[in-house]
Amino acid sequence: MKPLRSDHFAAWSRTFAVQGSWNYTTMVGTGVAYALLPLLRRIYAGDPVRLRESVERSMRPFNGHPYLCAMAVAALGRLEQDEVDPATIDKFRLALRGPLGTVGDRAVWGQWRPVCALVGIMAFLLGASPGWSVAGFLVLYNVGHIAVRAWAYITGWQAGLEVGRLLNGAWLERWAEKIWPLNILLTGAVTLLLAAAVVEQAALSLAPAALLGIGVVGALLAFRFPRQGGRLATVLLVIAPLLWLVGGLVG
Amino acid sequence: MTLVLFRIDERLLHGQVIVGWGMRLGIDYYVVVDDDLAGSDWEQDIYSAGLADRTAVDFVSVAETVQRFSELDSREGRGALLTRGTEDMRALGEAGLLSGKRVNLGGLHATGSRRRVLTYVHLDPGEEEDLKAIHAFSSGVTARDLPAGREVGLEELVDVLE
Repeated sequence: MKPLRSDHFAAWSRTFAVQGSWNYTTMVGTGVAYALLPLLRRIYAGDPVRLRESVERSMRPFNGHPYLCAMAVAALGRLEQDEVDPATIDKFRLALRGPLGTVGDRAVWGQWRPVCALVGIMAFLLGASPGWSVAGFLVLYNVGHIAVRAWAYITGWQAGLEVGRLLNGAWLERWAEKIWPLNILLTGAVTLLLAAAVVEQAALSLAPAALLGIGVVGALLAFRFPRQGGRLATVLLVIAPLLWLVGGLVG
Repeated sequence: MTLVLFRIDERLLHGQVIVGWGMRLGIDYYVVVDDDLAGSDWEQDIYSAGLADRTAVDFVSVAETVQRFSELDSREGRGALLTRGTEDMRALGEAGLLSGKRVNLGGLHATGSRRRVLTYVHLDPGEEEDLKAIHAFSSGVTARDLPAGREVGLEELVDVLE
């Protein structure tokens, strides 16, 4: 039987818990099987033997970005519905875990999460209350998060075995490339705002132009020596808020 | 340039390899050695879906690797050679391709016959023998999942098993 819309919604909503039983043996394999169950129950309705076989198949080791696991769940469900042979389904599972991890790590962990965190931090540094800053971060981040999960599920179900072709060069990848300069811009802006706050708190007589000059020299040095510049920027981004907090407590 | 990374990892092209090692070492092309994958277009499409546009990948069989190794190892840019298991890497070693190369053990996950050595390395007796052979054919075998991770020598891995 074909899964109903309610089965798809149940499977998709279960992907939010896909890491709930993460372990070194099956990784998210059990979570994938849990999410697939509403689809499998419908597809193999009245055939408990095949249902059991498909659940056992679905519990084998799998890993991938947790949001894009929705694509794996939907695509695996589609293959089960299309009665693709189990050996091909196994190969498909093995193949899919690589790109789902890479694409998701690069787009979500590498770009979207830092951008949203930086927007929240910048809102706070520009005067928003801590509550609104955190709420802004959560709303912004989760709009992207839910959109990715929904797209992943729909694409996985529509594409089935052809999911590789759709994943290659998909909007998520293109969008991650485009958002990268924004990430860098926000990192620089937050660094400068933090530096300005620390300087102001320390009561140093440093004019804004001098601070901007230091920022420009720092940016040029980081451009010339990217690896060392990146490490220094990371250290500064950790130290600056600490200095600010310590300054606030002492002052 | 040349092949700068020889890695055994059953997941082949995935985040740790492409983002973790690839970005650190500046990898321009991957050589995936696997007899089954070399003949399967749809699997190749999926495995290569996570690569950036400018990164090249070749899916080759063990026999083809032996035949084309001098060309694969002398391309422009920096390359990484990946095998899914120890058996294929051992075959490359037996063909004399690992002389002077270090082999990285990345990820072999739990199955019924394997015993856990590290969180990301599980070995069965046959794989242990393969690793000893690869060690003899190359400059050495060490386990390390990511460039920032701790490097674990073959002696330590075998100690755990014994």
